[in-house]
Amino acid sequence: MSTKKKLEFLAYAIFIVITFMMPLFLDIFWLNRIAKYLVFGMLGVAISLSWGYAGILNLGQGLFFGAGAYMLAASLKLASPTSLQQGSDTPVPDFMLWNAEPGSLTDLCCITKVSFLWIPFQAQWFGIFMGLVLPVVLAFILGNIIFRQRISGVFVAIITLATVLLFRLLMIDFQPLTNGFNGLTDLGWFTLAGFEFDPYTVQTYYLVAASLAVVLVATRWLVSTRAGLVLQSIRDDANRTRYLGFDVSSYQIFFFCVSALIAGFAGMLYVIAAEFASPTFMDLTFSITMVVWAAVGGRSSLLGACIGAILINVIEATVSETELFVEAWQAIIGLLFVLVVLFLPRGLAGLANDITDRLLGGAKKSQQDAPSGE
Amino acid sequence: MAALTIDGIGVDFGGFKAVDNFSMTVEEGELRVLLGANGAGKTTLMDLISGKTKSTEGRILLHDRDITNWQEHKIAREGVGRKFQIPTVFRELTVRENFEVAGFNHHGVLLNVGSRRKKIAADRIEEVTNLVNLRGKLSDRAGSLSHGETQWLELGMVLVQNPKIILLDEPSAGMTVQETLKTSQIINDLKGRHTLIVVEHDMAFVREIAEKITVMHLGKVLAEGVIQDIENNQAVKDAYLGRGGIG
Repeated sequence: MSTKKKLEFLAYAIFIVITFMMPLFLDIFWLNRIAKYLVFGMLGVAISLSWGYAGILNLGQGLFFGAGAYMLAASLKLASPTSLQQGSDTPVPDFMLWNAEPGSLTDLCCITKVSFLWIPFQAQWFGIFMGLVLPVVLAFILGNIIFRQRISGVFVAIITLATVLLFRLLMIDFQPLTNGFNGLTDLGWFTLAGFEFDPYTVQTYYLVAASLAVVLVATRWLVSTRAGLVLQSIRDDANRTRYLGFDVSSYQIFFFCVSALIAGFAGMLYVIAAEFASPTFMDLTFSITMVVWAAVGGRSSLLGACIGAILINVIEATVSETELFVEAWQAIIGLLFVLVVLFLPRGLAGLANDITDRLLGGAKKSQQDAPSGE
Repeated sequence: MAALTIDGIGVDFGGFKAVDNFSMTVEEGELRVLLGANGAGKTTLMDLISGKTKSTEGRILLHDRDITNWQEHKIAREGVGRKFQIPTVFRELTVRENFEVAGFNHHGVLLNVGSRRKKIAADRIEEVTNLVNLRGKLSDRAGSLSHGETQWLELGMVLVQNPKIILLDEPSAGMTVQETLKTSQIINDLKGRHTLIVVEHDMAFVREIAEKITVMHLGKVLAEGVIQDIENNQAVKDAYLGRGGIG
């Protein structure tokens, strides 16, 4: 293994260890905040995979995040105590009563015209299952439309952007099913094997941190496989890859789906930590913000994009709460972005890469006299 | 059975026939040069063979298999390797990684997810690296290579796949005199071992490598034969070589 690769693995290890040591230094309020930022870090990984490795600039990643979030939130909404206090033996979400058909039975079967869709979500595993499957199915359909037509570059960005806005509109308009603008709030706790994950406990933090570690390592492994190398070839020159015998669109669709799966998983974790799902997840600004995180951290590095997301959120939180900057914090963050894009086009990871190259280059020169093999 | 049989192929771009009822047979191990003025349809013919352009008439047979209008990646898998006029390589990957991608023994996404990158056609890659003069460059980023080296890298990627037919679109374009000479040596090295179709403008280069030449004009075959025949052919002189004969 080359020195550079060893350093990269070391960086992953250090990052994971640091996330696991956070409970030693932070109170529970901050731990819950950091848990949310780790979820954003996971979104950074998803963006880096699709943008940095596949060259697919997805400006609608919020669609997959939102899909994952809403699916689990539906299950947790039914597990909430208020859903059991609506005068029925079975749980019914409170907002459905406000939207009820006149004279209808207070039950998921028929309280509104579409409420029966909620019935399977009484089982939490179904919410989890759908939270993983729905983003992948949406990505598969969207990916087939985009990549089989050989659409690329800025047009992918435009289509994904339009798609997320369309779904946001649908989520808001389907008030009886989704509670519209208000989203799903007042959720129960996520339960796994009898254990309840109160968002303000160290266990929930560990759940998120462990999930992020798994996603980071698994994605890093995925890009190191042959398929990952083919993916990077496609990014560099899709035509060349095609004339080497690879079905380019099937690779693009596959990794588009993996990226959506990660985003959907992140959405579910966010619901566990933040206790709500809202159409703002599908706001344009949120999807674009994710891309900015990845750009600052370095889109061609999974870990870089992940750290970029976490760092920016920590800075935002601290700067916006410092009395001196309360009025000006958005300008400060904006300035930071401009500086990074101007002077570090490959982000923080690119900077780290250059520094290690320089250090290793210096080391190599001093070894040059010694006979060396690989 | 010939390695490649082109039988009356043609394509109609809304009334304009870039290639028109074109037929040609290339034997196993042959090196065929395609000559023709700009717009004669040489690159379009390459596009038709490799699947980039769909034909509106005729057939293309690879040995005895009809590959007419297949998708590009399927034609490539069947054994047609193509090097483009403007060199296209994977610039962010190293030279070795470029060769590795070309050398993958299967192409499906799920099969390749399960495969680590160790030991991919290592012997073949070494052989090709020597052939295209890229020894000592294996760890370099492909984007850092010179123009000539990039051309050789792309040729090498095609060679790693050991295709039945190799299509080379102006392999010496933009090269220095020394690079052109080296390229002609590489191509002469491949003679007999591979079946090659080379599109080329540079007559000096053509003299270095050519056995049999097919001259195209307005999408059709104008003449076919060894280099002396072509140089003395009146129709070729009029249509292509024109004023002052061959340069």
